[in-house]
Amino acid sequence: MSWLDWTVLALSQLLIVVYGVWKSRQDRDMQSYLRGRNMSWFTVGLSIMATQASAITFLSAPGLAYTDGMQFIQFYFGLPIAMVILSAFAVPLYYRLNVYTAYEFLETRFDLRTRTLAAFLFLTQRGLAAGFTIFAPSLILSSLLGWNIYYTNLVIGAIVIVYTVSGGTNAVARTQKTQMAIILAGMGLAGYYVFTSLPSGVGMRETLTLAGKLGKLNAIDLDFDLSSRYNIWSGLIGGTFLMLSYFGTDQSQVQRYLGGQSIAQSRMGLLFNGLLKIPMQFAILFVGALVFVFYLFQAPPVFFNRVLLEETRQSSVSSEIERVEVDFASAVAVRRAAAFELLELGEEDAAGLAKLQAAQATVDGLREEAKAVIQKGNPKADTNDTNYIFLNYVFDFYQPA
Amino acid sequence: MSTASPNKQPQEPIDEESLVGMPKFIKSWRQAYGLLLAWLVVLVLLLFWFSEVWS
Repeated sequence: MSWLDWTVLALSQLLIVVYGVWKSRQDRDMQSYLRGRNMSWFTVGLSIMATQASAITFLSAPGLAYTDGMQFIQFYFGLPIAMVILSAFAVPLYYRLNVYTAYEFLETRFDLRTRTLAAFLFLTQRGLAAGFTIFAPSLILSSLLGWNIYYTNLVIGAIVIVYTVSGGTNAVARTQKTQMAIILAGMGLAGYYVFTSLPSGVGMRETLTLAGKLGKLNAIDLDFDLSSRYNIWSGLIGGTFLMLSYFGTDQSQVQRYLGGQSIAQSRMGLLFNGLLKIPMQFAILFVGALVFVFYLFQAPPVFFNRVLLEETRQSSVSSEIERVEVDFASAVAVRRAAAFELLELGEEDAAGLAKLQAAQATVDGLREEAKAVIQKGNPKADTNDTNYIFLNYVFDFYQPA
Repeated sequence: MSTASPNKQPQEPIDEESLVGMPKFIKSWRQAYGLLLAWLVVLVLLLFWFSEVWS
C-alpha cells in the first residue's frame, strides 16, 4: 500500500473513534451513557441502518445480484410496514415505561425470569453474530495488509470496545453515522468505477439490456410459490414479521431508537429507515448487476473463493478442476462474443438473444461442475462463493500497489 | 426482585402526538404512516416496471 492508502486508513479509523467519543463527552450520567436521549432523527435513522447493514451486507448483496439477480430486494418489502407498526405501538410503549432495554419491558409485563431468559438469548445470539461482523472487515484488512487474521480480529475488536465503553450509546450511534456515510460513498464510487470500466460502446442502456436479458434485473416475482425464497409475498408477509421481531425486540436496534431526543425523533428515525432502506438496497444490488456485466467482458474465475480454488488445484482432484477451468475459459470467451453480437444486432434479435442465454447456461453449468469438483476434493468445503464475488472484483482490479 | 437501575431519572411527560421536526405538510402521525405505506406501493410498482422493461 502507498503512504496515501495508509494515511486514509489510519486517519479514518482514528477520526471515527475520536469524533464519536468527543461528541458524547458530556454524557456523564447513566441515563445518557446507556440510552443517549439526545440524538436527532437523522442520527437515529442512519444508526439504525448501519446497525442492520454490517460489512457482510455490503460484501454479499452484490454477490447475490450477480448469481440470482435482484430478487433479494423483496426481502425488505416488509420493512416499511414494520416501521409503521413499531412507531405506532412499540415506541410509545417503551417511552411510557421509561426502559433502557427491550427486555426490561418483559420484567414489567411478566417477571424477572422472562426478562433474564430473553436477555440471555439476545446476548448469546448477538455475541455469536458479532464474531462474524468483526470477521468480515478483518478478512478484507488482513488480505489487503498481509496481516495475521487473528491479530486483525483483535485490533478491530479492541477499537470497537474502546469507543463503546468510553463513549456509551451516543458514541456508538455517532460513529455508525460516520461509518454509514463512508460505506455508502464507497459503494457509490465502486458502482461508478465498474460502470466506467466497461468496454467502450457499452453504456447504461446496453448494460441494462445485457443484465436484464440474462435475468439479473428480476426485482419482482409475483408467483405465490412456497419453495421460492424471495417473492413479493414472502417479502411482504414474512419480511414484516421478521423486521418486527428484529427492530422491535433486538436490543441492538431498540437501543438505537430509544436514543432519540424525543418520541417524535425516535419515530422519525424509524420512518427514515423505512423510507430509504429499499432504495439503498436497490443501489447495492445494482452494483452487483454491474459487476455481472463487467465479468461478461472480463474473464472471471470459475470459483470466486480463490483460496479454496487454489487448494483444489493442489489437491487430488487437480486434473479435474484444471479441465473444468479450461472449458470455463472457452465458455466465457463464447459468452463474451455472444454479448457483443447481441449488442450489434439489437436486443430484439431472437437468435442473438438465444445464443447469449445458451452461452450463459453453459457458463453457469461449468461453475456448478467446478463446485462439485471442489466438494469432491474437500467434502467439508463451503462451495457458496457469493460473498467473495464483489471482494474478488475489488481485489482483481483495484488492488493497491 | 427488580433489577431496574437505581440511577434512572424520573420520567418526563410524553407528548405522543408531537410532530416537532416533521415537515410542515404532515399534520398527524397517521398521515406520516400513510405516506410511508404509499411510498412502499410506489417503490413496488417502480420495481415491477423496472423488471418488466429490462427482462
